[in-house]
Amino acid sequence: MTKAKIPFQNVLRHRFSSLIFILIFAVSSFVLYWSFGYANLISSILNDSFYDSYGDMVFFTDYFEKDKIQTLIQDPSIERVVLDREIQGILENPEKSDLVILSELTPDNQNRLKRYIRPVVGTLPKNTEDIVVSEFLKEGQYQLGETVTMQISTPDKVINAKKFKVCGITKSSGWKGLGSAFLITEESMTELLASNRHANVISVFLKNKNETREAKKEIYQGIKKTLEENKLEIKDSWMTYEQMDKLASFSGLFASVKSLVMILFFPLIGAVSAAIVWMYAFRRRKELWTYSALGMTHGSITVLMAFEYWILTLTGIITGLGIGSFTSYLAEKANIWFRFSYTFVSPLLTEIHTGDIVLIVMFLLLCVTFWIIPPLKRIVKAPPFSY
Amino acid sequence: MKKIILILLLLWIPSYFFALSGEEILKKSDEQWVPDICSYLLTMKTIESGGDEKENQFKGFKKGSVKNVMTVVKPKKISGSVFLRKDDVIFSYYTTNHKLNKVAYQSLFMGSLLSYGDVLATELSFDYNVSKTEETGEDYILTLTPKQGQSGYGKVVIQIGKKDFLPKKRDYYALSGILLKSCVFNKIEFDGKNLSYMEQEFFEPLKERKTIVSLSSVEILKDIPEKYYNENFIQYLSGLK
Amino acid sequence: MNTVKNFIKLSFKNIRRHPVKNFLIGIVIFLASILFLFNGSLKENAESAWKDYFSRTFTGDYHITSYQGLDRDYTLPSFTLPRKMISSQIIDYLDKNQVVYSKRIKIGAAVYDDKKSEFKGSLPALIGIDWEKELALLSNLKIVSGRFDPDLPNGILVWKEYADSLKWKAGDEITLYMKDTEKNTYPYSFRVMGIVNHQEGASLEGKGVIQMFPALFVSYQYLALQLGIEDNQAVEIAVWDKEGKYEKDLKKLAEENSLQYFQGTQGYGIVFGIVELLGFFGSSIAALILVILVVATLNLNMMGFFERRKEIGSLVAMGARPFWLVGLLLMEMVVFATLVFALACGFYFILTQTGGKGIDFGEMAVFFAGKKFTAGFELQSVVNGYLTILIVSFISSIYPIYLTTKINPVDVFREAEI
Repeated sequence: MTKAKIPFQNVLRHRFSSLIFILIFAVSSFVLYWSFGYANLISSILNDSFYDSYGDMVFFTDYFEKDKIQTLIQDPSIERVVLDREIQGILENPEKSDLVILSELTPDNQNRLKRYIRPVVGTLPKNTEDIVVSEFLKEGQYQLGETVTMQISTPDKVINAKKFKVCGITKSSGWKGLGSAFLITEESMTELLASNRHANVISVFLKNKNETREAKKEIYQGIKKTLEENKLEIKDSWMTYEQMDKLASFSGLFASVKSLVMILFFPLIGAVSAAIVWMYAFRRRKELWTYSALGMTHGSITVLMAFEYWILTLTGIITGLGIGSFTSYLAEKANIWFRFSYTFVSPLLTEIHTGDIVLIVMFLLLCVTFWIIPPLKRIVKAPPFSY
Repeated sequence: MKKIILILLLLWIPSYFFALSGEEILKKSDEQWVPDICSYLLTMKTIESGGDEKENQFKGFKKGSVKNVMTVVKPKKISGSVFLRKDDVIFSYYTTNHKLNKVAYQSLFMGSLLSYGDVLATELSFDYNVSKTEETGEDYILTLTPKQGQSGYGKVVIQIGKKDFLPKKRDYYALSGILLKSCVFNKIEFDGKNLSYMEQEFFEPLKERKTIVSLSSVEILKDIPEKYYNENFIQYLSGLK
Repeated sequence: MNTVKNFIKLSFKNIRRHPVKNFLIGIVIFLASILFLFNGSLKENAESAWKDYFSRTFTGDYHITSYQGLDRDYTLPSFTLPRKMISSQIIDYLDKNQVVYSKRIKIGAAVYDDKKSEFKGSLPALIGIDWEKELALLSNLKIVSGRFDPDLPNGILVWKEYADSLKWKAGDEITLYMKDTEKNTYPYSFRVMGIVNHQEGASLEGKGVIQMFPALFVSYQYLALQLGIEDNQAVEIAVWDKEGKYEKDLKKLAEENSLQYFQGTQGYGIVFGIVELLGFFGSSIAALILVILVVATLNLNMMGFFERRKEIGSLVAMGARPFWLVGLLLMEMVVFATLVFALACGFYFILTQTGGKGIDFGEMAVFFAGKKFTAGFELQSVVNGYLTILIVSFISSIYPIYLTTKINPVDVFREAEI
């Protein structure tokens, strides 16, 4: 019991040095929190964005009647078939005309896409007059509150137009319209197309997301054949894993960030910890030799001191992770976005899992243990009161 | 008194039974100003909101309601290019690529605010039904909607003079009711019974620009060879007069 | 001068006097320095590899364009020609200095499928070039199928990945819609005379979900004629100037004429984004390490101060002025940081020399245009790294040095617990 009390008492007695040590580990764990969190976010966005946008496979076709397609596409492996509308139209105001892709936000796809569609200003569309515009290659071209007119051709080949008010500006729309779709409500799309019976995008979600590629391909070919037999022209189609293969190297890069940061931090934090421990242990050498003189073994003195530093490390970790979590919350509220050319757009957010917290804690504890033992041992093993 | 009432009834009843239907008014109007078989010179001048102007000129041959072919006279760059409307299909042949292509009805024509359908489908009665007929003192106001399977505007409201059945104004609406463009017939002149000159001014409120279309050098013809409306022949049309 | 010499001597002595502490601080500074140098090398490798790739495959060492903003992009080109052409002032300068350059016309074109009567995909970049000049300069391009026929006026060479996506092959006739100088959009026919690919590099094939290089090369004269561009006018100038001898002047001229100057990478926004991303990563990690360096060295300097209070107190008692003490401590910091940094540079230099033919990053080679990473010694990184280390060391020394000036020699020699 006494042995457990001593480290706690020492932490309080040597407040200044304790504070410094806590600070080092608070900063380190804060940095690790953000590195892991951001890398996780990007990795998961890259891995999930296509699936969340279009399921395991998608078919872009001419307009079809929804009821008909639902009955045609049947397979025991299919969990559900989602029928959406994604159209091309001309967006106009007196100064400009743009050919844009317009996508509808349904309650279903909004739930899947909420991670990617975060307007940098404004809100998502709520009313039928609302439209969210994409900034992709059009930065600064549209303003919040601006009125624009969208002109399209309905499934019955009749020209229709609708006025919209820009309610939000976004940097990304998931993979809808290659990440640059303009977004309106489902009701709005129905008004624009003068029909809620028709759709032109078929997204297929399989029951088993980890189905083999061969099985997926078979289902894909089967659906394609069915659509062709029913004279529905397919303009474009793909299987999600094909798209993921194209992004594999980028996904791998972000996944490796964690390992890279840990490899860098091990010697860095270790050297700092070792230096601090060396200096403080040197200053407290009389205290340590006193323990030795009182009959404690070298091992138990080392453990006693190490325990003190573990307490400080854990305190630092908790502080750092807490600050990390709080700053992450603030960053989410601030809605900050990174953009590198038009290749890479991401919000400044973190995605931390329990496993990451455990990893950070274990890593830092291991780091401190590895680096503090040698300087402690050196002092403890020296003849008492020899210098 | 009874005699007056009887006379009035005798006048009104036939007029009730013999009043023209909307379809008839529309058909009559189409026939009135556009000759059935003719050649013509069509000039289009588009003026952008900034003041820039662009002029195109075409030599055309119309035969009935559903056959109309035009060759480009101006701009010189594509002189000899041809646009053909045959039944429901519109073809284009550009001298820039020497290829025959089908074109959508609503595609914009030559950078103007008109569509291919606006230019080549002169007789609205072929593509539209009359859904509503109204009258004012001097004019008929017809509301048209596209026929089943036909491409077109959500609604076209046209104003036709009662006296001469000549069109005065057309408003083209999207299905939602937004006014996409307006057309005013500034001049329709006749040489005897036949149209000699016509000028329409189209205005697009959404982009604040206008296109002025004039029809001149109208020549009534007895017939036009069918080969003019053969899509495989139209590339040779520019050499013909 | 003597004072400085004495300071340096004393600094060395003091550094040797506290070996363990300095060794440990040294590890931190050493690691940070290596990272700065490596980061600089990473960025330089990426930039120069891509610059070289683009220079020999698509764009020359740098470009001057009359397009504004992102309209200059080759991956997502603009459908409309710019309002004005390259000014004669720039052409005259290039001719006068006998710079190797080529006039170009670049425009986005809409691909029309004649069989299906519909438009396909996004706009490729149709690039009108001087065949004779550029095919010699674009040395990384090779024709993998078909052949170059100078007598075919509307012949085009198509980038392989793009041709494959549209199932085009040599001999095919294609239709492209383009907007001319009068803002009229008409269809034009072209004949695919050959399919081209790079001889080496890039590794971008099959990566990314849009076509990275949707490039179609056509005769400059033919394209100028179709679009109504006057002879000898250009939308863009591609310049081959590896040493960058004329770069500064041309940049200035471009700015004066409201034109854009850019290097090959920046003309392909996607690749530019990849290089920027790499730079961002490196900078983030360097920044993280700096934060830890500041905290750590501040703490260690504080501890160092407490440890040397008696030493400093003795100096004050002997009459040393505060500025002398500050000078001594700063000199120690500078000497130590410089020594460690020099050691790190030396170590890094040895690494670069023994690195052999470079490191193959496998899938990540996309960051270096498919080439191997060769650690290089960049002067700019050395300067930046050294300055950063010095500044960080200085920041972390401010408070301890301030405390030093407040030392009372009498108090120092009393026993005190901290």
